[in-house]
Amino acid sequence: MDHQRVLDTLTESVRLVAPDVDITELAPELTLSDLGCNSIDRAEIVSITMEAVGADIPISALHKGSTIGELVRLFVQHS
Amino acid sequence: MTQLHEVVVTGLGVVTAIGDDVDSFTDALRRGHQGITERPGHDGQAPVHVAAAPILDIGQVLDRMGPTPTADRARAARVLAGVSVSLRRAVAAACEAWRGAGLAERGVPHERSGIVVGGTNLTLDHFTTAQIAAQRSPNYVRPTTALRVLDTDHVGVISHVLPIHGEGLVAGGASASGNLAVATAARMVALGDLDVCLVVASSPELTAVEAAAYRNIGALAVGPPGAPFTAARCGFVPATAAAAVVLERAGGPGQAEPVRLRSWFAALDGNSFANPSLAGEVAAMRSALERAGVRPGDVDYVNAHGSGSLVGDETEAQAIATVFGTGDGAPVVNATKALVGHALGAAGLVELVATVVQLASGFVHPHPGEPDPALPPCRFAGPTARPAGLRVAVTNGFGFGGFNSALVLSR
Repeated sequence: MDHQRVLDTLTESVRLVAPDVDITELAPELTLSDLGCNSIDRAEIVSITMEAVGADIPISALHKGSTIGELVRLFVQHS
Repeated sequence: MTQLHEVVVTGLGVVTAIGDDVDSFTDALRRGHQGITERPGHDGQAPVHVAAAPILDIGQVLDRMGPTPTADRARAARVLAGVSVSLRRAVAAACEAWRGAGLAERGVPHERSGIVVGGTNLTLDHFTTAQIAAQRSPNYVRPTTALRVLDTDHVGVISHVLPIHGEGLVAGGASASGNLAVATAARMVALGDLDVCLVVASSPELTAVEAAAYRNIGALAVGPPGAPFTAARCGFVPATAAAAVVLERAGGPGQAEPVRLRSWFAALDGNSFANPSLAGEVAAMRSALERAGVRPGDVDYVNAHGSGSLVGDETEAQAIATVFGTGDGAPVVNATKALVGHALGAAGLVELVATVVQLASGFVHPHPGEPDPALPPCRFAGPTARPAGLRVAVTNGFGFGGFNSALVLSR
């Protein structure tokens, strides 16, 4: 799956999980934590996105320091 | 010795197949509207009949909170993100009841407000979806499933949206959950452990497994369902619904003659099979009346459990006839399940709302269909609503597992 589609899917997941986050602020160098997502939010967003794009990585292998850009690259790689 | 307080009902909330708030529900009860629809069966099976409450989106649920500071509404939206359809209905009903009791304005200390959620197996629908995801990959099981798959998520979410910091728990009694949850809440208020107790119940849609199990045990209505207590009855019509009531001590501020909860009674048959007990049902009604200090002749109206079960309805009709007789002084009887279906764990609470509404508004809702002539001639309500100066009512709740219960209410 291409980079933009994965990013769009992740953006949609953020909107579902954390409706109070301003998704226009999503930028590749930011982490989900920077945007105000707590640890449950982050794990949830990752799980939803991975299922939607067909990526399958242990959630615990990802950490709060992963930027949005890094997450998208990982999901593209494993989808 | 602790003084037991009298308990009153000060707020009501409801979301059902025939009305998604108390006003529209009351109107539908008056009209005798039956909210039963036909749906294609699971996996090519015969069509099924259900009574489905509407699906509310988060905005509709939040509107039930009434005028609310933006920050509180935003926080509630966050709490409700990803919450199941049935829990959204529970929150909607809870907010309607809370508002109806005027609690937003009254500033009851948060630690003096509690909640009892009625019902069990509240999250099997969520579990089924999560299981499908798990079969694809364990990484697709949502982290929030750890929270959502617990029945107590209903307590957590409602107390996160409404200011409830007193005691909270889930109380289950199968199809008698409504009365049991009310009894549990009433005890806490009567003892003075709480000033206010919200009681909420909401039933999720049946999973395919549950539907098959109920069909295979012969409990589910197959084919066009006959109404409860009619000769054509053939089992229950599954329903989704949510209901809520607020219980408080009598004599509080701003209470304009609320309906009084005079007593509650619950007991077991010591029977884990599905068959009802005539003696157990008679004892439940008689004991509730004794506790209330009310004679059978004083009762104007009985809201029957009336699930549409062949043997269940027969047993209950005999029990009602035994306790109250069938002469001129006997109470009028109807079965709200004829109109809203059987919401299982939420049924009893929907029926309490229906009972309070009829008591307060002075009418009995219709009882569709001709009563089965093989049953004792209880005074079943007719095909149209009748004005009635109701003063005292009884509402019954029975459940698999040998549960028998009854509440007595008066105006």
